[in-house]
Amino acid sequence: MGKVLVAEPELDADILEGCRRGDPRAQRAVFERYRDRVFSIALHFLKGEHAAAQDVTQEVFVRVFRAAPSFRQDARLSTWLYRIVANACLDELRRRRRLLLFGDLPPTLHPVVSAAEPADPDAEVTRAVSRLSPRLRMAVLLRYFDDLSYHEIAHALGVTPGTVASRLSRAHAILARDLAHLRPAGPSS
Amino acid sequence: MPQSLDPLDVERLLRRLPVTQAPESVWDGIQAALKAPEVARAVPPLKRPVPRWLMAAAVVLAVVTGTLGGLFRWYRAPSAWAVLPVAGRPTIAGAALTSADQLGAGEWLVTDAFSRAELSVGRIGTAEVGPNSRVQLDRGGLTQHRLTLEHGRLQVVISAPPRLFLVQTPSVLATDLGCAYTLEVDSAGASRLHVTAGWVELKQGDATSLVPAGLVAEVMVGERPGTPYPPELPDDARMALRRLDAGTGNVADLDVVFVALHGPSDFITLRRQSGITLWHLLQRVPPGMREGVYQRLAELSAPPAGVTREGILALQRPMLERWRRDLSPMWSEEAQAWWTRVARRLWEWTIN
Repeated sequence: MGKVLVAEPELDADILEGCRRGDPRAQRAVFERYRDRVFSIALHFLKGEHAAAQDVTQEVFVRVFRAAPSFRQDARLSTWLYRIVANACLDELRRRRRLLLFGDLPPTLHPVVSAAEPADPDAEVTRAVSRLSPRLRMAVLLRYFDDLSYHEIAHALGVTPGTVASRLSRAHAILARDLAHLRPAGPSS
Repeated sequence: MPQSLDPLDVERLLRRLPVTQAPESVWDGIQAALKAPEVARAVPPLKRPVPRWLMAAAVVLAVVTGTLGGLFRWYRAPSAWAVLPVAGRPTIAGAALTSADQLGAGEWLVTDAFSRAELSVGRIGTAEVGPNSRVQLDRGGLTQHRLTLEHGRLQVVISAPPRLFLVQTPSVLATDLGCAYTLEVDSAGASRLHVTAGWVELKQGDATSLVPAGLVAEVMVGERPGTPYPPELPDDARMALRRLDAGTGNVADLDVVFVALHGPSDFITLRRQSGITLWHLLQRVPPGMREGVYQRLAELSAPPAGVTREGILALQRPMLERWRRDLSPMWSEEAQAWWTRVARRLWEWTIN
């Protein structure tokens, strides 16, 4: 069972400045701050493909550190970083679809949780999320892994906040139906 | 069946999504990638987004090109036309036709007094060759279906955009403008056209006649195409019209024609169709007689805005055409919709 993250404050200005200069210690600090969130989002988005999630995580941080000199101080690093995460995940998904088209990948991906495992609510939720469409899935992951606001998710996904609200609403409706069997037992009304 | 989960429960469950620790090897990979020379990165060049207007223009161009390409493919004239004997024993290049055959370019299809044959005009229609006829298949353009009728009779039904089917006779070139008609050529080469649907253009040198459905036009060898007239026109009026077309008519001939067209007549159709006859006559009679024709035509239908008496008497082509278009509902079954006219113009512009 993994740990549950809570929202963390932004990195201090020295670390960001170090990143802009290419200081490995500052880069490490940024990596430590976001590594698990980025990896987990990629892992859930890519339905448990560990190797692919590692590649995406590495790609995200390489892009962030290479582009750090152009990062504006008045912007939030996390918002920018999650935009890169979303793009990298979608790129990977497109790449995998192309490869699947030509038969270069095995036809089934490994789920985060095997279907044979006993009913565990967390595993059920993971599986239900992995069944969402990529657009809905990414919105859910950004919302619940770092508690991003609708505006921040909208910026990360390049859509309007209204679209984010619509996607989350649809995702909630689907999950509420798929996870109905996890309804807490209580007095019937 | 279980009820849906409460929205708050969905949120509660989603907040418990497990977080997985990223392997330490990711950091090593990042460091290695950052240290790699920039040139070693296989970064695809940045793609500049294509402007929407350009994409829209490309789509429109593709649709137009595809449509025109499809039309050209559909209306492409075959190198040989299917022929079916209808009666008797027509011949092709001297050989008797007993069953379905092909008429090749340059070959003659000949019928005697007892035989008839039907030609398939590509995908656009049919032409029945009547008795005592001699017809040759000509090489036309890409989409032009072209025949020579040396003598005899052709009964044509065409369903296609204008100017795809042409028949050359010794006296005139008949161009289909989307129609059905009968074209007869006598032993002297004189042609007689009777249009039963749509329009046909008759052209000889620079002279042209436009013959609408219900009207007849005659052309003598070496003369300009005759003025279209209603088939009910009395013989004396037809002879007078022929003299006027030949440039030998006088005021008396004109009066005979006027009386026939506008006199006390039960032929309502004749009066209605006389507009096109008068419109052609305007351009055929000498200047001194033109005023009389103008008055008669103006009585039938006042000239539209922008068309002046002086312009018509000076035979200004734009004014003549505007008046003709204004008159056309009188002899057409119904006025063409604007988009039909636009499509027709576009098609004619494309193939010419």
